[in-house]
Amino acid sequence: MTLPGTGAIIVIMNPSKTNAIRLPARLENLEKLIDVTISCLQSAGIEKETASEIHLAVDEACTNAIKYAYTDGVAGDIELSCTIARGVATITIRDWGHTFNPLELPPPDLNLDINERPIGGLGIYLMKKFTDRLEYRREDDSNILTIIKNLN
Amino acid sequence: MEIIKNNGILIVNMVPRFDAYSAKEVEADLNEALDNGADKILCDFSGTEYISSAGLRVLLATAKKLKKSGGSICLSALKPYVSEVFETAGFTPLFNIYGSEKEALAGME
Repeated sequence: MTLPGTGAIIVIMNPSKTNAIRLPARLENLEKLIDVTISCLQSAGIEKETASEIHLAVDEACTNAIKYAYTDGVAGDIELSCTIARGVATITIRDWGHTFNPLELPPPDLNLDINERPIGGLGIYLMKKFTDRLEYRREDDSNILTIIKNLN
Repeated sequence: MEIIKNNGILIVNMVPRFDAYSAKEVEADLNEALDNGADKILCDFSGTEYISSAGLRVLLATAKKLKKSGGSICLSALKPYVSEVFETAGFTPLFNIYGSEKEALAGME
């Protein structure tokens, strides 16, 4: 593994359907993070609808980390690993930015009309709706968010 | 992103992957259109396979601006997945959504 901000890309793959990638936390890398997830899901033969829901959850988690983990011009990495085992997809997203637990954000009010609807705040909500379980922990100065989706 | 003017309606062919990365470009294009006086915008989603909350955010911001200036925004041809995201986010009642670009143009006249 490399130190945060070094810009190196490491891709690890093995036959037990775990794919992982670590790269600089920048929006132009979002597609690469998603592609690793999608190829992991495709290699396990997961149906398109479920894969799309996982795609959205992973996208929202990565976008959040990229946008908010590192501030004040500090660059850092984001790491993603995707594992499929025993009918469960587990995707872990890690950053080394300041402490931020997205699961503590309040849910949006979906009944407001267009004038009252605040712009933003839907990402975490969609993530919760499209997955079965989300877990957050702070460990070794990093934020670790785990997305769990049952495949059966 | 392709933008065509048809009978006073600006037809915007939305990007295939409407995520946080492409949202920046889409938002800039839509803002430019609004600055140039566009008041009727049709966002056609027939080429869009994917949308995230970043895409929803751009649509809501554009709709708010148009509502304030007396303009309107319609959407067309949402694929099932895009439709599901709209439904889950409670966006379906906020927009006029048509099955196809043709139906939308007829409805907007």
